[in-house]
Amino acid sequence: MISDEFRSVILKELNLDDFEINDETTADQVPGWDSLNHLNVILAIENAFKIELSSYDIIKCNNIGELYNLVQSKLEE
Amino acid sequence: MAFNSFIYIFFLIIVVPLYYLIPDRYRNIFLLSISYIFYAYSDVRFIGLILVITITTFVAGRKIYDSKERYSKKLYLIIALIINLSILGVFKYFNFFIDSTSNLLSVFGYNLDYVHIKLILPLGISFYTFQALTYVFDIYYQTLTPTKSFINFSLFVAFFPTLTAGPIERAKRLIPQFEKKTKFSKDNFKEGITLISMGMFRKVLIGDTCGRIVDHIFATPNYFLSIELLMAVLLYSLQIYNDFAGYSDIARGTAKLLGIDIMDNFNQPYFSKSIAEFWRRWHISLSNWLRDYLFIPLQLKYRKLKKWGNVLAISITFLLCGLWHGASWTFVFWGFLHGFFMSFSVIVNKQRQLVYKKFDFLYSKPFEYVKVFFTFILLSMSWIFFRANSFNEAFYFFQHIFIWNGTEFTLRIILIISVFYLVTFIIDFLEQHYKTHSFLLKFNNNFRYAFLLVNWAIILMYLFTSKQLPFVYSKF
Repeated sequence: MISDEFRSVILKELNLDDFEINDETTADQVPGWDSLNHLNVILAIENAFKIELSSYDIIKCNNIGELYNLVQSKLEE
Repeated sequence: MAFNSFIYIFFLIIVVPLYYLIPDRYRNIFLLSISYIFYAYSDVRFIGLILVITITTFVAGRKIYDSKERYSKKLYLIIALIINLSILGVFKYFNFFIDSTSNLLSVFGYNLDYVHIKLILPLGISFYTFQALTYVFDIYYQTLTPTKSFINFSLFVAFFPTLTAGPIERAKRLIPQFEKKTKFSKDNFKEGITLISMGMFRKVLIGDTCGRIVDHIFATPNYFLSIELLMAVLLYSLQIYNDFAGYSDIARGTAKLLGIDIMDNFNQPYFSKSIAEFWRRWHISLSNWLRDYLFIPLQLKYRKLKKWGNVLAISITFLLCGLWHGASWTFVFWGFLHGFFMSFSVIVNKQRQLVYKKFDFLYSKPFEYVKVFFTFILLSMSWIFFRANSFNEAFYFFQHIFIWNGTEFTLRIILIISVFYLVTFIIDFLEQHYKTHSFLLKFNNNFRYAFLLVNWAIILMYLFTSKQLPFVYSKF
């Protein structure tokens, strides 16, 4: 289950006040999260949690839930 | 075997009923055999190439999946890439590379003309190599497990509706469909016929008719007045779109007759309000391929450069996109132009958002039409490089199309352009309104049958009486 902090980092980067995102949500379902903005969202997550993710692991993620799990596993390292 | 030919119509009349008559467990072998026959009809010499790519990609996929360590997965992916892209590179780009290097070295008094090899571009090579590569990429990124069936995989690579010019399908969309039992469906049949009919309408009645005028003018541009050169530019925008969209609809319709669903390749691209939106609506299968397997990995690799990382990834992607279309610097430049337009948009994004916040009218509907018009102008100008045989030819057009000198034929020219644009607009509007390319199915039966009857009567008349132009994208 994605945390409120994780959710708010994404929404803030995309200038969205009120949009429902959950584990199953995919990038193309979120307004403004297109391929050009993808870089900005990933950077915002890495800066907020002070981590660096591998490109390979990011690409493997199929939805926001998997991206969140990736961030959590990096934080635990 | 071209889609816009009697032999293809005859081919379908035989193949489709046979497909449903033979037992289900033999259908994929039948379809595979038919696909190779389809390809061999055009060029039997290069069947071996399809086989090489099929075998190496199938084996590489299994090796990637079975490897435990990431470095060995990556190694097998690289091997598959090298084999596929080397084959593509040699046949498509060897002479281009030699010519370009020779031109460079001639400045120093050297010449490489003796290195030239007589090479023929195998039909569909740009498409089936890219389609095969989706298999290994998706296994590497763990979004697909390899198929156990070599027959099904071979069919995925060589599936005849998409073999010569796409859409470039994904293994994870197509292979599962081959693994399911197919039953004849009246709905699939109706949709298939409708898509083929609309595809033929676009290709034969709009694309080829515009194409004959365009070819005539581009052959000897210096014989024509500025208004006629402008007509050629505007009609080329329609030709390339209707030609390729028509092809894609025929491919999708053919697959639908066999119970297979192929992705949409066009989504009314000239309704785009920006170049970025255009690439979400034009040749969608290629732009998605480039986005997923080239742009996003590059973008993530260079993300520390922030917006400049995006610019670098966009530039590389579009230069290669241009090169994919053809072994010529005019194609590369066309790709460069699109990369430039996209990069500019990324660079000034923050400033654009500030301007939009300040001026409300920029969100209005009339301004959206202005954006569509401006985007279309940029697209038409860049298509000149796509169509021209050389930079000199392209520059000749640019020098002359902005000069207005009317002739006694000016009104007729405006009428010709208007009619073709109106017809294309109506089709695209209906596709958008009904959210489907087979919008004809939404009309009542009498209207639909009457339209199909007249449509096919005219198409058959054209097939009988005129020399058909080849599909533009079958040359890539």
